[in-house]
Amino acid sequence: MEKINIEKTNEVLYFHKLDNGLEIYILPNNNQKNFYITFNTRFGSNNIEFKKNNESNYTKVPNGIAHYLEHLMFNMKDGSAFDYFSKLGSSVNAFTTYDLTCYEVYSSTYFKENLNYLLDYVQTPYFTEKIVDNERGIITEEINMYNNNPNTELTYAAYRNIFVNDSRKNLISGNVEDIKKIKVKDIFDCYDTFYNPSNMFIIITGKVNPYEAISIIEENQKNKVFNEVVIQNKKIIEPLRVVKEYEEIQMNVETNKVSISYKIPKKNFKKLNIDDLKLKTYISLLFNILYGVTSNIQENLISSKVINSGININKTFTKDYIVISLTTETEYPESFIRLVRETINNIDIDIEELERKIKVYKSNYILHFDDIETVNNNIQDNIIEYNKFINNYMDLYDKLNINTLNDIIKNIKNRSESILIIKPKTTK
Amino acid sequence: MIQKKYKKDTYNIYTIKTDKFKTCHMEIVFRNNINKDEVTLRSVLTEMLVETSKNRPTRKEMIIELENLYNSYFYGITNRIGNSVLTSLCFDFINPKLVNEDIDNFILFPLDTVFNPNVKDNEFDKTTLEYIKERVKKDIESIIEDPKKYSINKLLTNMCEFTASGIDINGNIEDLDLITPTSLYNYYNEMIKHDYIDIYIIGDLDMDYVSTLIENNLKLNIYKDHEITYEVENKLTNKPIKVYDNYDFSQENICIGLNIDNITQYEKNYVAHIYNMILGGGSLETKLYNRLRNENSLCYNCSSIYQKFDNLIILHTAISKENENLAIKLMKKALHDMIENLSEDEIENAKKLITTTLNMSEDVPGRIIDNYIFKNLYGLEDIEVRIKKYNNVTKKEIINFAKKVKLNTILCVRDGENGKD
Repeated sequence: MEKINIEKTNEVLYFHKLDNGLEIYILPNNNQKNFYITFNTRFGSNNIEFKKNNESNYTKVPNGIAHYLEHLMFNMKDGSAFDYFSKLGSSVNAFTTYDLTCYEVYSSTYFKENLNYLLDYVQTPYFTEKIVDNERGIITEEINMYNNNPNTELTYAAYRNIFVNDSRKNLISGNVEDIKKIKVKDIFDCYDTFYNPSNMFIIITGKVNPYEAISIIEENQKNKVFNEVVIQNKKIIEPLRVVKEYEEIQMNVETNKVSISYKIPKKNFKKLNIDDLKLKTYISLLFNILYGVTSNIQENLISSKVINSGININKTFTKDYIVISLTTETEYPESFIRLVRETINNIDIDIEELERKIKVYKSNYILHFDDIETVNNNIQDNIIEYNKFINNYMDLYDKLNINTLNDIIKNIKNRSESILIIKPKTTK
Repeated sequence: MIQKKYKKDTYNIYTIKTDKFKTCHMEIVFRNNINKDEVTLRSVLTEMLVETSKNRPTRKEMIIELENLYNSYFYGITNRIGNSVLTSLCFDFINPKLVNEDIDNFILFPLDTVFNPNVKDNEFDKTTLEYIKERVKKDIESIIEDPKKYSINKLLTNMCEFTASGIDINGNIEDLDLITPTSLYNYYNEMIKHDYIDIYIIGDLDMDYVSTLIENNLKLNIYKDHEITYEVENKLTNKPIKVYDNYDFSQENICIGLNIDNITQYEKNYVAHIYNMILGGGSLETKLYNRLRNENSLCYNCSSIYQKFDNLIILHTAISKENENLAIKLMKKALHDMIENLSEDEIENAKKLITTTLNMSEDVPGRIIDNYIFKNLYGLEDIEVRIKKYNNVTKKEIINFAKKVKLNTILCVRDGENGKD
């Protein structure tokens, strides 16, 4: 077991990798009464074309299958996994993102039982025609529920317009037509490929003894047999252009919801020779300064009554692109769009503001260790994006500087833009 | 964790000293009886008091100051608790010791902001008010973006037209239009004069010092001794009704409103929570979940909400329109099963889940303070005592309680005509 000191904090992360490839990350916080365990597979809605163990052809599966499989996982031969967790009084759930599926347990008691059963039910596939069919109605209603939600639609429709080939153009759940196509065989193909321990990792945060936890996991895994699996996901080539530069749709909203997105290729910054994490941090800082709560544009838009609820900044980092979506509610979309464009075309950063934002980032980082869910999710993000735990954020923040930021600013001009407006329905 | 009360002349300070968190949490709590005609003013004032202050007269200046205080977070929440209204102005901040900062800078920030507001010539700043009014207007109107919230709101308006339970705490557009910088400042003064004020703080701080610091900086020479009532008496009906509300959400939303008839304080505090946990408030194995989702694939979500001080239970689900009758039948079946088909296993599981939920609340500073507030105001017992009492609830007590749950209104929100069946 490896002990990783988290720089400039008093926190320690414990890491261990089993012979079957399963990775274990443990960040104890014994001030807390509860523990939070996530069992994760690197299988999200993006993974719809893949091959394993040198197969000659890629297997293509319907959109939404990772999410569908997540729903099915709780079925056991003798009932539902919830039955057992209910007896323990644990809070249990699961979720799927573009890049991973996560099964989670939150509780304060029965640590060993919770951990063992989490491993057991996720590693016990039980999918029948009937079970798969029954779930279709439930997921259809879930999709319909999201279709009612203008805020969800603002994100999803923006992605549909931005991404040409990247799977983010599809709903994580797939749409109703996609899920009609999902068959039991597809489910097994995905399970056998992506639910191999070598593609999975466990994160435990909160009240936990790392030595005890690792021993429970080792004991649990030692008699289970898994075939070796090497996964190759099909590489997607995403162009700089967007699908739609402008779209208006109508929904149940009182005020227009506007999203203006910038798609910036990472290759713009290649010559600067900074790593991906630093780039991500600088870009995040930059857009927070430009459009965040203390920005000049927010002040101007509010004082001129163009907006009254601020600007949300959504940052998406794919392998090759940075996508920044700025969203707001406004009666005057044209004014908002004009000012956003003016701001990105005339960037001038105040060093005091940069220093204050760095202070904010550092404070947020220190405080996030208080929340066992947030810290667990942060480790998840690290592993998905960088395949390792990042332990030097504080050092990274200390080294951020105006010169590098200015170099980055010089290189964001090569980008594409997409605008989405959700307007109130003309008839109700 | 060490709880301590500091009684000042006109307000109380309640502290919890603990080294469990890096974060500290402070709340200034105003409370009074609810007045339907004032909820919109209250809603606007809550926003106004966290937006700017005399010393930081613009939103930007406020946020810069908060960022300088290591990204402290200052926000306001107003809730209706039965017949009362409770406004909490909350301040989350890093433990000053961790960043070698003076504690005074943190503690004095919310005091200065709330008690030294952005007022000139007896009126709030006009520009800020206009902006806040627009924001509140949007909050009121945006209810159509949330079908569940919209449906529950409609149900309560229908079912509790003449009681506090039917009051929408966000307020309404008509009253909002009437608010002026002067009327809001008058209301602020009324609130200071007539509301009870308590200050709660949790963190690894020298609480004696904090208490003295507050006392030296907050002088309020106003005494209050009126009574605040919490319980709402909602009338039962002999003839439950079905109401249709026309809105074209992509799913039909069904809400069922239930009265709770004549229950004891013990049932209210303990039995009702276990009942609700089994019916639809708990895990993914509740009666509602099993009937509608697991056995019939009708919905993604179905839940029950227990509104303790209103003596109400609300059921909600969202389905395809053609399944309306079946869904209502199954929701009624789930209620019936609470009397006729209740297992010891379900009860035990609910007790364990409640224990977990209570334990979860002990890892979040804001929720520890919530428990403390409810303990002081409504006599809520300590978590250990509550866990013990929950575990002693019997099947017979739950069935007796279930018999006191009475159907009042079924509301279906769908694309079609308004009306009653």
